[in-house]
Amino acid sequence: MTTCTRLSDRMPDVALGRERWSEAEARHLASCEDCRAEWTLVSAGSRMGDALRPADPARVAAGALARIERERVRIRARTRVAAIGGLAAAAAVALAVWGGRTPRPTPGVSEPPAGAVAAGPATPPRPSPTAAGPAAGSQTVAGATLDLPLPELDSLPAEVLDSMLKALDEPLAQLGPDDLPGDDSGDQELARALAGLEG
Amino acid sequence: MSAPPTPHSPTDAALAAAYRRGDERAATELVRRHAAALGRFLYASGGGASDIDDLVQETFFRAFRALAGWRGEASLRSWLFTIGGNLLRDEFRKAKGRKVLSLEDRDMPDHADPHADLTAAETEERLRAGLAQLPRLQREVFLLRVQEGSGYEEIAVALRTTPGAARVHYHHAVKRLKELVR
Repeated sequence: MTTCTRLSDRMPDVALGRERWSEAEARHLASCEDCRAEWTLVSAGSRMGDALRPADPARVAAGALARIERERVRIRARTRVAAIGGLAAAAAVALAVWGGRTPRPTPGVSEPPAGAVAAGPATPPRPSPTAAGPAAGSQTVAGATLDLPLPELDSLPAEVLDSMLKALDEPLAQLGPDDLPGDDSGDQELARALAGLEG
Repeated sequence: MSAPPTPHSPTDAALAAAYRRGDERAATELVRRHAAALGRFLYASGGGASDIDDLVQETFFRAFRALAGWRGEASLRSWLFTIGGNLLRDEFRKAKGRKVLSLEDRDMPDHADPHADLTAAETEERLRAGLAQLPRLQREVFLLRVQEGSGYEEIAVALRTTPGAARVHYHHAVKRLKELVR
């Protein structure tokens, strides 16, 4: 290590007052123009800003901490708004999904032509022009109203429709033997054929 | 100069931990220790003398906000200088290249010898102007070395470089400043 390099390495500490030049180093510094130029820079750099008015630590700290607190408040408010917005969006999505839900078709019930079926609570059941109640033109499937267009019934008078409904609603047990279908010729023929076979 | 911690006073790391637990007096103590050195660094790096208080406060605001990110590898002061350097760079960009250096509003050193005053003031101004022309890394290595007496190991940690590279940056800075200040 040359004397110039050694001096260069020690310059900051000497400039800051932590160390002192030895006599040999001081002599080298006096004779070496390059080291002297560097020493001028380092000593000026170490003093730079010494004359600045010192900032009041309490004021600086209070200002910085107040800004941090303001930022915290702002972040909390922003988070709250974002949470409320998120909840509102979720609620809107849930409503849209619930409102647009279609009833599951019941097995065995044929699907009416498109446009003829109005399902769900968004579309109220269409009242039949002549028949009273849903039995004439509509069926209730799993809580939803299903309208079946039956134009041949629309022209019938109310009395005829009432009698038809009454007949439909009567249980079979109330019917007499005469009301049952009388054609049992198939059974009699079968009995005769069996008797012939047995001899 | 800032007051260094005495053997009985808490370390910077302890004060930082206390602040993170909510002790605002710890923050004030950290400011008391480092504000003056930070102000000198910001001034030497090109900050206007009348802006130094605001720059110091902004640096501490950023530092307290990010204190969890200081792992104690570099000294708190070196870390503060790095934040201050970033702040100056941001200010410089905001001003779109307008020089942050304000050579008019500096406080002149108060010496008895007017000739010495002039020489010292002239040297300081030429040095400031020269520092403003250096690449940022060279400038910060030079200032950490001559204002804080930091070793190359610590400078390397603070500026995220290697000790060898820090030494090279320092010597490049000195060489360039010799040409600029002459």
